[in-house]
Amino acid sequence: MGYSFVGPALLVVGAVMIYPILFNINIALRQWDWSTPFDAPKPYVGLTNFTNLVGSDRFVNSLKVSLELMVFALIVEYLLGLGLALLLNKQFRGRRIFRTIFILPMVLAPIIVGIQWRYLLSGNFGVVNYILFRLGIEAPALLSDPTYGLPVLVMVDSWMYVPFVSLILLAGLQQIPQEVQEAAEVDGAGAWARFIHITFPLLGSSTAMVLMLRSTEVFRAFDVVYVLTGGGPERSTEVLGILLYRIAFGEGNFGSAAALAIIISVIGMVIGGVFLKIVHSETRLF
Amino acid sequence: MTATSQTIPQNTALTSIGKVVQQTLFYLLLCAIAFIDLFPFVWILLSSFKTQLEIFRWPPTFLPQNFVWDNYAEALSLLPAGQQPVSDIPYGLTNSVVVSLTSTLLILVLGALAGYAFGRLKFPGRRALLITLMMLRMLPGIVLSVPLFILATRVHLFDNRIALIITYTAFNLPLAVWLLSVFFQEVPTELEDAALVDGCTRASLLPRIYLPLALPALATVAILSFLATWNEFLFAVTLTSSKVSKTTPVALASMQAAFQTRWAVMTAGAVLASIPALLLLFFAQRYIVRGLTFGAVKG
Repeated sequence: MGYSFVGPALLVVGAVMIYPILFNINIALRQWDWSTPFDAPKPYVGLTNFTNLVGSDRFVNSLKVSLELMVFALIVEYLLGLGLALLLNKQFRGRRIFRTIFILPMVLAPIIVGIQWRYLLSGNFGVVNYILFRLGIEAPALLSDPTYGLPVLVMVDSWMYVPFVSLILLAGLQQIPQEVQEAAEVDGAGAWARFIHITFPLLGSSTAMVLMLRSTEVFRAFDVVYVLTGGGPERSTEVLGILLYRIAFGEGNFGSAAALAIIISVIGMVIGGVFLKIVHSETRLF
Repeated sequence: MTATSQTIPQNTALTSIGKVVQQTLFYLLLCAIAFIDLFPFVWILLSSFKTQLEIFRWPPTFLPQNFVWDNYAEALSLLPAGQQPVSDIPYGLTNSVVVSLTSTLLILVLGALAGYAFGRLKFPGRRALLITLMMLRMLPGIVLSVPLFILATRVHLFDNRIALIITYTAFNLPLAVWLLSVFFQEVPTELEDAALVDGCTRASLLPRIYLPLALPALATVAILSFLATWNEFLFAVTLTSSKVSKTTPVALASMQAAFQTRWAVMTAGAVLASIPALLLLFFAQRYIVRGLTFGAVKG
């Protein structure tokens, strides 16, 4: 009886996720590109796609960009998200209105967030440049100078996800029993001491969880980068997702793109696994 | 007034001043954060009512000087005869509605069936299947873009909305199944026993007892799935090529790829594309928050 209930769902997941995973391995081991006719057999080339890719400058560049984006975005998002969560962790007037506003960046399509920031940061008529100009700061060419490529991505990713991080951490904060805090206060612990010795350690599982979710998501970044910078200027924002898209759908080299997909999955699993291990050691939940 | 304040001991007055200052700072900080979260979209909204000329003006204007609806008319291709439409947004919106609603419905039906089985029934391999689903939840879409593109082409579903619907259903099912199975698992057995005693058959337990109970969980799944499919871009851009099947995000992105970006029309398109998300934000926020925090809180 159980199987007939789970059957339809498993069928769809099997056809769209599991079979393609296996098929992708097959593609990665072949010379498979737009130059070979659609129906022609694709020659087996072993690990050539992998070795060519890993040895190439642009793979190294993209790996570096993706990792840097992940590290900086995680740091910024965690610190700001924690600050916001601590700020919101109490009853106050207007809570609902502020919550609605804080959730807005989370429900907008990433593609719209990308368009929005491209519009705001534009060099010629962008309002951010104008605001900086009024503040007496000479506006840098945020979207055309490679120096600012990564910082702009970190900023936009943080704009989108600080609310999410704070939402998760706030849920974690609300699970900390009030009595523990009160007991510490009675014992003379100041606000900072309570934060360091009680709040932060008890927030361990939420911290690890949110870092795990965010790291895997930032590592696969694609949509926002696609519209905001398209990987430029000068490959400064060419994250692994954009590189894969270019190799596959720009250059038509499916074999190489499939190999890159496997590399991205493996690195993603390693990163996710590390955080999962931290979750485990923090919580001993499972 | 003065008399009463004089009767207050000095240090209480000071702490109350301190409280007021603290409160003011708190709200100032909140307003600053709210401004940062709100301003970019408000700026897009205001721009969508400006003329293309005003958008390129320096210094920029905040409120539209000539309030126009033209950008919306143009985005929706409601043009005077003889003018070529510049946007595929009308097609995009139609395709998005069809794809998102159909996928959401499929996710709900398949998710509820599987969630019920995983949550309430015992069968060999249950645990292994559930763990597999959980691991698939972490699978990045970009990793499967190449095989799915080739497979869709092979089965003649490339540039067809059906390909998007099936893909979206699959990618959103793991979370839906997990959420619903946890929900069904928490329903007390006494309810089931009572219903059976009252003459309810085993087969009608799901529709008569569990589904009505699961309405809030189903709403959460529906809203999360709808938002995810409505906003999805990667598969939409790799599995479609024409207005027959491209969804709103692709229609918007392709306007940007054009020689010179028509920002006025583009901002109107961005606003139109955001309407469902904004409606859900205002009217179904509870479910959005519950869905987003579910995984992290109930790990």
